[in-house]
Amino acid sequence: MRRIAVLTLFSQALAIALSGCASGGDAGGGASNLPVSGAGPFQPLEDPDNKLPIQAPFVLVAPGVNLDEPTVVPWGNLLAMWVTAKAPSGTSIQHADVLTTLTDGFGPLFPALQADQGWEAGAVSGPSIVWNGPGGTEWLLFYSGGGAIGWAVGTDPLGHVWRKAPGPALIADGAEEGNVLGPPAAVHIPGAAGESDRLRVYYVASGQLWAADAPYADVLAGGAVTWTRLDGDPSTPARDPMVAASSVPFAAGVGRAQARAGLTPAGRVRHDLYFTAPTGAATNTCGFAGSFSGDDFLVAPAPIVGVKLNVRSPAETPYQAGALLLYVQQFGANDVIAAALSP
Amino acid sequence: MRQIAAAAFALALAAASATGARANPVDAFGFGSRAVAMGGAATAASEDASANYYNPAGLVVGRELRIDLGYRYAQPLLRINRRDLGVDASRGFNVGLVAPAAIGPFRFAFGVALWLPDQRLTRVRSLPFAQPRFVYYDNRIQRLFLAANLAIQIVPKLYIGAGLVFMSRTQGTLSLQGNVAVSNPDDSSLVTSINVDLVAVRYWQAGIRWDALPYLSLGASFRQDFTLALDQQFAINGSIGNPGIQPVVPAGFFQARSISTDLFQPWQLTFGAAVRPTRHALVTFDLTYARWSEFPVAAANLTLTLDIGQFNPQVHLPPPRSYPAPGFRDIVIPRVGVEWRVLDRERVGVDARGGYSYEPSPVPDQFGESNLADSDKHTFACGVGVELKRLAPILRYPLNLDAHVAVTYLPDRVSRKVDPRDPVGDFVADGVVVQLGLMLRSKF
Repeated sequence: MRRIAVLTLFSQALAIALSGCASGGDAGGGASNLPVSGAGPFQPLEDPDNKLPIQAPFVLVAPGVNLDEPTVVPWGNLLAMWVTAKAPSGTSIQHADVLTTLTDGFGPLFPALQADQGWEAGAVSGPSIVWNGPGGTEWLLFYSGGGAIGWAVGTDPLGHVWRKAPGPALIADGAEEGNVLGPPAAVHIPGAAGESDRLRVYYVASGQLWAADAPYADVLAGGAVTWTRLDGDPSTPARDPMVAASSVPFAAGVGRAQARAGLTPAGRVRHDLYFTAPTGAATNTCGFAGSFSGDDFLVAPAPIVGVKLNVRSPAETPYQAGALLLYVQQFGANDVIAAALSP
Repeated sequence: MRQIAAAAFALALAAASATGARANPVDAFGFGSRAVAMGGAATAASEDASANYYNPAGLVVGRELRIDLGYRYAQPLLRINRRDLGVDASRGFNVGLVAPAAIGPFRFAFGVALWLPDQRLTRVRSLPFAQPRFVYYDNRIQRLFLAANLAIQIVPKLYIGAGLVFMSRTQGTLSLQGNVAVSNPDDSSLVTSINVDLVAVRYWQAGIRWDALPYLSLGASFRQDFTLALDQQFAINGSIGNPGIQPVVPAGFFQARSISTDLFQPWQLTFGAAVRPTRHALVTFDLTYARWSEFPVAAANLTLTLDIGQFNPQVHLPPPRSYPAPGFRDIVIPRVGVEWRVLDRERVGVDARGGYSYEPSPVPDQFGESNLADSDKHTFACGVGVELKRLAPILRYPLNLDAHVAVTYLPDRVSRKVDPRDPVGDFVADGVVVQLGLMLRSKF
């Protein structure tokens, strides 16, 4: 009898426990801070409830000015961007900051670099920033002018004041590159053990993406630099582009690029290229290519943002827990800067 | 006796009515407090309600009715690339019963164990194939666990036991029937019906124990493998066209069916030994073989079916996607535990416990599209047990109160991707899982 009483008590306690449980379950986790490599795909910034002070996905609009070729660096939630600004008064490189967070948009544009050298042919464009990280003071700004490539060295800690290096730095080789170089994509590549750091510049020439590099310290010094042309496919005797037009399955060529060479969590360098991919006479999309070796780039089989959108000039940066892609899209009468996020 | 037999019959009936299948969330954190404090090395040393999990044969070793009640909290702090993924805590009640009986010299015992989470009874989740997740802890620790066992004594000091563990799987269909108006969707007349079943499923387990010497016990247990499938359908049956006129498609049909693996448990074979070198000391060992190589693809298999009459040739549905085999490895898990009676007074006894287990990761290197994070698991456990004696006339037998802390350490595991275009890229997984628990063990 004693056991039966105990069993009865046990079963009743169990029933009470069962009826009381599962009333306070949360939504379920395990999906916070999911890692992203930055290879996309990216989703354009959304604002379904119209709560943002910007017209998402557009984060920088300058009335009467066509913006193009953004390049961006993050500092926590803050962002600093340089763009090509095409105004009736001329084409120059200008600078804008995100002072709170991306969804508040960029602040006003300020002049950053203007054409004042003969070889620049009256216009500078296609900025590409190299910075040695938050707290760093090493700033380089590569740009395009007169069909060649030049660079400037930052002389203040915030990258607001620039001193141009004697230029041009790179001119077309007159052979496989043709006679005109497009906008540059510069990236600082840490040297392997026992080797010095390099500064690599990708550039568009003859509808393909080529590269050259030089000692980083020499470039930073802002003096004379000897550039080495790089081969995109060392297994063949001829010099090959880093990204050939024929390697982009969804486009007819390769346009302006931005580059990143970052250490992966596994401790190796991965080289990323984000580039404009022309899909028609006046239509473009954004492509991606990656490589662990710095050559033999593999091109993503599909555009990384807005498959059906007419967008161009991607610039990527790690941002908060994910990756941010800035790109150019028409909004109203002007080309403006839009943003997309991954994941 | 009659009540116990009736309870056993009811459990057997429930077992027979469930569809055949097989599972177990207690694998991740163990059951009870004493066994966990000893590193989970309890196959040859569990006689209380925890024997329902570690070795059902142990249920019949004692002669007293036992009721155990406890609470356990486990907090995974699991990271990828040094960022916490926010894997949910697992917390809830451990409840167990051991009811021994005898018919003449024939001794037997029924046992029931329940792990009752206090957040959710179960979680059903099917993630995209490439989404990073800690496959070992994700869904696995969010689940109710109910085991029912029967143990008998073959001959003195030789015992066997077996039983069933019950879980549920989800299958459901959302159906829409009626007319789909193409020019104005608001004119559509569709009747919705939802049919979702939580189908009971079960797997079996069995064990044997031999008290070979007064100071040596040997045991073995087996747990069947288990796969919980998530089967969901969405179907539309109806005509397509505007109301009042001949439909463009008179009997259209669309069905999307997703079948995915919600939970997998490998079959496990464990050998254990318990040695009592002195009256006050107990040392236990377990060695488990876990057949993880049968781990299924962790992705939903989606099948689309469409019949829209003459428009069929214009629609090309993608074929079901195939995924690479996950390639998990079988593993061997050693466990060791120690219990030491540090205080043995007339009214109270105190046991100090400690344990360690090493569980190598069954997950292969993640170099492709999948991102199943995991690492080897080193679990360090300790605990204390207080035995209150001479409680008569309230309780005839001593009352035991156990507490434990266990920390599972997952060292860095680096995954290097072959393809530089991988959206997730290289990643490093690591973490710590902290577990705390209390258990009250009583005999009657």
